[in-house]
Amino acid sequence: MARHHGWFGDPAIWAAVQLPTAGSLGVVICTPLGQEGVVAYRGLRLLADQLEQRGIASVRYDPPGRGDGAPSDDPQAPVNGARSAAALLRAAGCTQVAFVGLSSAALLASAAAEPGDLVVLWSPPQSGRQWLRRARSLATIMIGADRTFEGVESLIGIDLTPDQATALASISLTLPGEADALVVRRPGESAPSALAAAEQLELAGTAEFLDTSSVSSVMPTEIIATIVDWLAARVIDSAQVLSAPPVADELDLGNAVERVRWIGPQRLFAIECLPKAATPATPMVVLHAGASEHRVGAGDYQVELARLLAGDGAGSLRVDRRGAGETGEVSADEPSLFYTQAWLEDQDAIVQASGVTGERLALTGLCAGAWMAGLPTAAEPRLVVGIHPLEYRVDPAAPNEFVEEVVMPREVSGRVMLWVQRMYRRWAPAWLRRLRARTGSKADPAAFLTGLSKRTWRTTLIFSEIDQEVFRRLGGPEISQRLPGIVLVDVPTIDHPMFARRTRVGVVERIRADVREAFDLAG
Amino acid sequence: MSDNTYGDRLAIREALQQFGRLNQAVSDLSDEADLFAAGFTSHATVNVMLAIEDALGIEFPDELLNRSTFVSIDALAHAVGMSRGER
Repeated sequence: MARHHGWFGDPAIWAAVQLPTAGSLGVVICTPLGQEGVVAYRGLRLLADQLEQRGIASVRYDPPGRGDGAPSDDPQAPVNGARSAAALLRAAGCTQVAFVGLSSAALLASAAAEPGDLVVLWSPPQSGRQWLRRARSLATIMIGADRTFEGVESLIGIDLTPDQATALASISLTLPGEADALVVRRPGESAPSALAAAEQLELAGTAEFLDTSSVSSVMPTEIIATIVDWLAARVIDSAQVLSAPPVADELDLGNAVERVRWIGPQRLFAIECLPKAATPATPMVVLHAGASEHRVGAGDYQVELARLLAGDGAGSLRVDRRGAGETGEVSADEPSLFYTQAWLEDQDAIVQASGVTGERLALTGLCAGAWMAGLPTAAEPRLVVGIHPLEYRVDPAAPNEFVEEVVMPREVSGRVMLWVQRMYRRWAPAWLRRLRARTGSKADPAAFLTGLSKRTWRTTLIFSEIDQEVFRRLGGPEISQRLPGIVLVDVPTIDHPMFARRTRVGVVERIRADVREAFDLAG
Repeated sequence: MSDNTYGDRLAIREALQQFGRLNQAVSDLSDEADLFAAGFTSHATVNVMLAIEDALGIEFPDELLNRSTFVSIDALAHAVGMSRGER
């Protein structure tokens, strides 16, 4: 059995291929669009692992224009990407191809499959139009009606040009001629009438898996086992010899090159993006995603940022820390490593792998990633940019300790209590703050901020409204005023997860400006 | 209560029961009860909205797509009326 990661085709898809030693069937696991693809990442990896154990090859991929794929704004790229992934499996020797599509990816699987292919549609929408209506409704509820920025519409975790939206809306779910197909529906969900010929199953678990955040997502083990069994029963030749797929381990971006790297003792999966003119003096920026999300970041902002930074003259590493993306093994009951020592050890490994001294190093991260970036690591970075931070603990949590909810610190009222609060914030010794942080629900940010002020030339903290309010109630602005090198940026948005392009563009431009200034880059 | 309103509320309760993923039975909730306090999420609001639209043959206009539309059965019933052009 072998795993291959890299790029394929032109414009290139990014692909993760898992090959058994032999077997005729290869499965294209189509990537759901936007945040669905981020939340489903580990579950679809579990599907790939279980297929591999049954002698079935698979490919998971990012199409051109999404995730780690090559840049593209072709409206047909999502469907063509699925076809390119199938071609990759055939090049490895697979003589049977199946397409699996979850939710929005069911549209892509249906559109990409050819007569004779196997098709598994998991919680398919009624049509492209219905998917788009649902996605637009969800986006309006979560980020507001003003979702269009510079002509591009933001849905949850994906931006669409008008042409891309039209192309997706035009997909009607059908089965190619003679396709052997399985439809897995949610309880109460109806399947499109055009899929009537498919075998239909109603199974619970999709809502708990997909309609939530990456932190709270529950692996749909029964559904995955059902799909694997269905596909395994259709393997024609288990002795079919397979060979290494033709994936490239570099992506040429013109002025920059991206490479796959495996970092440290935990073999953290990473993609390094370097300017072609990089030298040992080229600064490196470490990009930490938020929550349990993988390296591309919300709405792929880490990929966009990495490629823009390369144009500015800075390299970057975007990494799957433990529990995310391609790193480590996947299991249905993997522990939550939120805010744990394991993440800090991962950061140490990443910093060491960056190959630069602290004077040439910047750390950035969103939310949980901002917590990592803000704590001591193997080198003292010149620059830290924390995006939408919510946590300031300096003592790591135990595995599974973190519960996903924003705890708003209590507001103090009354003259005496306000005086006590003011005195505490000004004079409380470190030991008292640490004790209170351990016993209270939210850590005092003083130790966190003081450490950053001492270690960095500059720390920029960018706040959306909710994290700004948490910071304010914790006394963060007053503490920061006394500390050199701490810069606070308030952005009037409710978009903490950075789903809206407007939010992401602002953050990306701020980071680029800070990096250019910190490392004296011309840009 | 008119037949229309009764039918609307029945459809809303059925949609909530099927897709609301609430932490208590819909039959235990009053029409005024805060659905978000009962575990309603953004994803669930959209699934419920689409089920209501299917059941009643309406489409919620964009200006109703905000948290206050989904806060209670009363609010959803009002939104259904608004979607039909009723005041």
